[in-house]
Amino acid sequence: MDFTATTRIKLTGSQSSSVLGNETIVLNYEVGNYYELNEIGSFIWSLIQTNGEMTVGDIETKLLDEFDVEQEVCREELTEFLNHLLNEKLIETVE
Amino acid sequence: INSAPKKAYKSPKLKVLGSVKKL
Repeated sequence: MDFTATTRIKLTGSQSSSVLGNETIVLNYEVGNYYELNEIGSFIWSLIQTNGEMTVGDIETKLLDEFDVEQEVCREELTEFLNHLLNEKLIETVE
Repeated sequence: INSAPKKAYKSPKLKVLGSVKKL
């Protein structure tokens, strides 16, 4: 999917997560898989979880504020990561 | 002086650990 800065996303209702150190373990009990998010993945997950829903642009801004990363790299890797979450039915877009 | 140093960045990753159905 082509995410834009204004695309709104939220976590799906069929998942449960737990923080483990700098990482997060996520269970999708609809798909039946469980996952590990690394530190940056956990940061993004926590943002969406805390805010209920967020735009992709807002997430990108938070990442750029917090981490030492170029905007182009940030945008490209965030899009790839969100697509991975979407494919695993862990997030969904909000109309 | 006032701006806090930014943390080191790594690519965000989602790793599939396993399947509950298989278990």
